[in-house]
Amino acid sequence: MQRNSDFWLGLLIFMAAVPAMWAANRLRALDSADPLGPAFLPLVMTGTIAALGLTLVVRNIRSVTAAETDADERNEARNSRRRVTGVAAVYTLYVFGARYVDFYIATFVATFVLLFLGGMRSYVGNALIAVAATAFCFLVFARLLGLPLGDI
Amino acid sequence: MDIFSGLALGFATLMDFWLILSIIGGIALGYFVGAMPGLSASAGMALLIPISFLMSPEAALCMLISVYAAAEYGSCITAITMNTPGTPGALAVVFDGYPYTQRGEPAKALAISIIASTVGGYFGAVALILFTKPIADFAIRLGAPEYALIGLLSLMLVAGLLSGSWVKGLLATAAGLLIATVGIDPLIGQTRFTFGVDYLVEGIPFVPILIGLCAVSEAFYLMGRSLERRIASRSMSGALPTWREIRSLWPTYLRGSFVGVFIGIIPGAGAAIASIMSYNLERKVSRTPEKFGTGIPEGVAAPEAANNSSVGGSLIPLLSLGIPGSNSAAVLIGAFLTHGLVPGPLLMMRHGDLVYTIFAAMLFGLILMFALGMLLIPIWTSVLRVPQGLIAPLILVIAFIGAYAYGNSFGNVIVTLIFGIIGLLMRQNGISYVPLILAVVLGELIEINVRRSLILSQGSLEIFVTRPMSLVLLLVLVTLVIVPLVLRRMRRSSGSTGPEVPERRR
Repeated sequence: MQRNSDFWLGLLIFMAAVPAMWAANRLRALDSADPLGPAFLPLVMTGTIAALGLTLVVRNIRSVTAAETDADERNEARNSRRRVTGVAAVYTLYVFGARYVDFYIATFVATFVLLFLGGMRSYVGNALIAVAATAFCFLVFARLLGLPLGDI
Repeated sequence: MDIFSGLALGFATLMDFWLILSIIGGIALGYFVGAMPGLSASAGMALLIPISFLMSPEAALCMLISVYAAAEYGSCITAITMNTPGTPGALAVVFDGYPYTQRGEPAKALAISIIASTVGGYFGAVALILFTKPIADFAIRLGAPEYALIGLLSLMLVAGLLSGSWVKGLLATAAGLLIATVGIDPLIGQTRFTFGVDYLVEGIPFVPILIGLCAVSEAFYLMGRSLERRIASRSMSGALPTWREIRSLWPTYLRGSFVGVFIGIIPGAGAAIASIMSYNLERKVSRTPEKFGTGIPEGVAAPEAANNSSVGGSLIPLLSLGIPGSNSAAVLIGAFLTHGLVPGPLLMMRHGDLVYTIFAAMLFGLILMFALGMLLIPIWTSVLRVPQGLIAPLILVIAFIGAYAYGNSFGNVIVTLIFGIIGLLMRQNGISYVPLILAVVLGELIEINVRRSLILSQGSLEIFVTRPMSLVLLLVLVTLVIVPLVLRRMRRSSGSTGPEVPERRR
């Protein structure tokens, strides 16, 4: 028996909103004619987010994920989550790789791996597409449009 | 400048090779993103914004608006031929469009749909041309309390319309307003939530947020779906509609176009709601409602006309008030800001020539859209043979470059990555990211005007009820909060579910 995902979502939002509320509360208004001041909107919004997060928790505290879902559906959902997590992880590595290694090397590697994760299983085909994508970035964005991609 | 001389000036400006090329390019790209299931107009537009920085404002805006308009038509190609709407705006086209393909007459449905799109597009463009200036002139006379309430009204509409759950709609809205507060306070210059990071002092830039939420999260989502190759095996053959059939559909085109413009003006309602409402209206006024869902021309023409006329409708509040009527219109704000232009009542006054060039481009672009749509239907359907596993990685690479190109800043790439992940989490948890985008756009406008109002009234809330226009807006706002709650309670007690649409036939 698992809790409804909205329960965990609400809990996560509430836990993120409380420190944000604390940070908003520390914003000190300078002496001005403004009756609300700079802290008002952040405080109201963080308070609202915390309250809404708590609402989700309370509403879903008793609800559970249906156990009788189809096994194929569960497998598909699990595979989808794995693929998305893999893609997000590779993209994060790509962003930082481009900064600390080299943009073009990172683009080639990331495109190759992402194509593979996207279901394209040919190593040679993926390598050729990755080379073409990297060359396109270099020729169009760096050479033609003058974007300093090498300096990222 | 009156409308006719403005349009004459607009057409004169448009007679430039690069401008026409940008419109043709925008239309081709719009067909592509519209026809690719899972890829929305807003994602394509968000990716193009940083690149559009290298173009003139006229060319950039004409291209992006062409993408927007063509994507709405392109989405019906998959709806009709594959029973899969390219964008949510084409959902209602599936009900009667796909049965045409099953009967071996996809060309007829596609032709009806492009004619309806063109009529709807023109209806929307004419409404845009007629109403933008009067509304902008009126808006100049509005004060801080009215602006604050218009902003709040838009947010309430979007939060209520786009999320099945009001809690999640409000969550996205509140998060967007909170994000808008990052950086220097607009009235007294104090920094907020910058945590000592210089990059955050000027606030989180809007364009990387857009690219992250619209393009990166969409690519993540595409990669997570079942990655079977989608191949359009259906032939594009079959007879075209007769002139008599086309003529008999005029009332349908006009009703659909009217619904589309009206819904398009309402912030957040967008093409999907417009097309479903138009479909339901057409079924209600029809003498043979039982035939809907079996493949009849009215069932294709009504939603398609509404879908396309909502484009013009959604640009009316954008150009006259600075408030986007749809997600794609919100993306257009990014394009305006990239070129140092602020959409709103003063845009018409200060850059009237640019606004009329946009109008002229819309009128001209619709002719091109019609011609390209009719001539190149087989090419647009071949887009479906491109595996999504190839498209999504390329979107991610271009999103990276697009974010970096916006100010040559690595910080923008990080923001894009973070908002891509946030957008994905929002999608997975059934939260629409559109209220968040709109709240980021409108956050500063609302905050500045609420605070200015209270400075003017020396802290008294009476300023919101003593001015007639502000009182009307306040009453509408209160009604908008109360009515959905009452309706939801009524629906729950009567056991009714969702909008009235026929079941999709497989």
